[in-house]
Amino acid sequence: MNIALPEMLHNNTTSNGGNGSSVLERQRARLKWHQEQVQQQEMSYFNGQNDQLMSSFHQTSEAQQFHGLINVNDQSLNELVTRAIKPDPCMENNWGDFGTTDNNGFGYVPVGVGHGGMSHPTEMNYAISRTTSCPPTMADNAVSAVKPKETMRSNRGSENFKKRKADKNQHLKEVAEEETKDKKLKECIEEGDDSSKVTTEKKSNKRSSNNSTNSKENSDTSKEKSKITDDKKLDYIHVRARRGQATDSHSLAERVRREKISERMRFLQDLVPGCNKITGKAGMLDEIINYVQSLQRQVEFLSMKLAAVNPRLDIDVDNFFNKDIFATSTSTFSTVGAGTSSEMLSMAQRQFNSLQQIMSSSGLEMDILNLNELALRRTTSAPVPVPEMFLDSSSINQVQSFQTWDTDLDNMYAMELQQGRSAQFFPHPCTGFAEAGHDLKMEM
Amino acid sequence: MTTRSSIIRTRFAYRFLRSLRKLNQKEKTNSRRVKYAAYVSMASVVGSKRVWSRAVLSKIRNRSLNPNLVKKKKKKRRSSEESGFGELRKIVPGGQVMNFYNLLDETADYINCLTSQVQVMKNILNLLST
Repeated sequence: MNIALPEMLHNNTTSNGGNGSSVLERQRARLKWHQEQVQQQEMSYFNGQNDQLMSSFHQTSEAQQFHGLINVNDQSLNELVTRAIKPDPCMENNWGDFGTTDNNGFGYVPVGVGHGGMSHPTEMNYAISRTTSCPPTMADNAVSAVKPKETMRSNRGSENFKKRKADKNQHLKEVAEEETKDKKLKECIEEGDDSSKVTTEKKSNKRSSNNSTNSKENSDTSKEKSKITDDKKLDYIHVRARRGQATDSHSLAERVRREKISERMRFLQDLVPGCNKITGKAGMLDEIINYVQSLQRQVEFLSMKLAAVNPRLDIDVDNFFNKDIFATSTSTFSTVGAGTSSEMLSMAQRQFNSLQQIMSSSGLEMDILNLNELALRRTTSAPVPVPEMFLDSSSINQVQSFQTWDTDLDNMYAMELQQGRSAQFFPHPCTGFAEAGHDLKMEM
Repeated sequence: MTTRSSIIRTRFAYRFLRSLRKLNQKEKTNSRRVKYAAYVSMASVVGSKRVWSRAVLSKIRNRSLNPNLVKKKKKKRRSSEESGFGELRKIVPGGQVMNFYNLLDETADYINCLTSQVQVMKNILNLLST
């Protein structure tokens, strides 16, 4: 017992003072990484969606595409890499591997980037869990008892807790003296820790880790350790009770739950307009409910209107699709050679273009993406002749759609696009024209 | 998250237009069907990873399979913790069987999807009515 105490102290100081900030940093980095990952995946997903028509072409030009992707996204990729490397040195190895693996390994390229990256968070998690479990007994205990989310784990934790309680009863007299010291120590640490919100352990676990010198507990913790290495993918919720707060596992779990809920509520508050002024959960819930109901009613109303309009829909949709036909059918598919597959492609492309129009009327974020993508594809799949034709046609087509769009601009624009997107609107057609014009010159 | 919402919008618009065409070809257009088409296409765009989309899909499929069964089904009375929660549970599809945290999560996603759905439907309506 007396031997354990200095070790404890050491562990506490290192984990709180030294590792505390770094752990926070790592977690932040991991969060950022996750976000990046998600964005990348979505981008790649989007690419994939657009490329569905052309997947056959792309399979041949994977390698070039990857290089092109690297070239185009060079800055962002570098930024990504540096960002990943900075917080955690063990990422460097991963990235080195990632960089040196052959291009075939990436398969379908945009997806491959996302997919290849997916292994990193887990590895990072592994690294983090390893570092946090460096103070051997304490961290394990903390981990075992703090995790309320998973039933398995929490069961384990409660079991351990009971065991520890029994142990404590056994050693009560011995421990009593220790505990007073320990409390003082805890208080000191907490004073320092209150300012930084890095929370790694629990008070009660600290107390119980005093008892962990006996062999039973040790075996238990070793078992736990193996368990932890098994599911290292999980990231743990770290809780720490402030001074004056209850420290038993139930109230800690309850506190975690409340924190999560309030975080969600804040997120929802951002989503629902006009919810910022309301304080209190009940009012916010009412507001959220009203908003959802109004949205549902809007959907109902719109579907009613659409049902009324729908008889005209067929013709209109056909017109809608026909707007874009001539460019496609004349320019590309005569050159590529008419076949059933090309016809199917043209159909799909037509549909996609009509979708583009809808989207450009609704979002206009699409246009950036499309243009970027077109640029990307143009650079990447340059060596392959067929996709190039296709691409150029699509860019021409885009010009067409923009022109038709300009004619429709007055009514559409007045109706829907006034919410701050008007500023965004004009640059994109301009860039679209510029790029497409450039392309046309290239073609000639 | 602009990319995700734009993806959802595109795919929703695509599916919804397709289902509208299908409805129109069968000449079975009424507001209820259009509404179901909108909900189904939204839910299938979101996929099965969300509870609410699964709930919507299963609800509508069950209803289309055997409409009599669903009407007879009794609603499970769940003791709602607070007044607002029960209300929210009723509104968000699939909310009857969730804990509160997940409910809030699903609500956030549901709101996102509904807003994009409303926007796309408005745009389609505008395009069709002009």
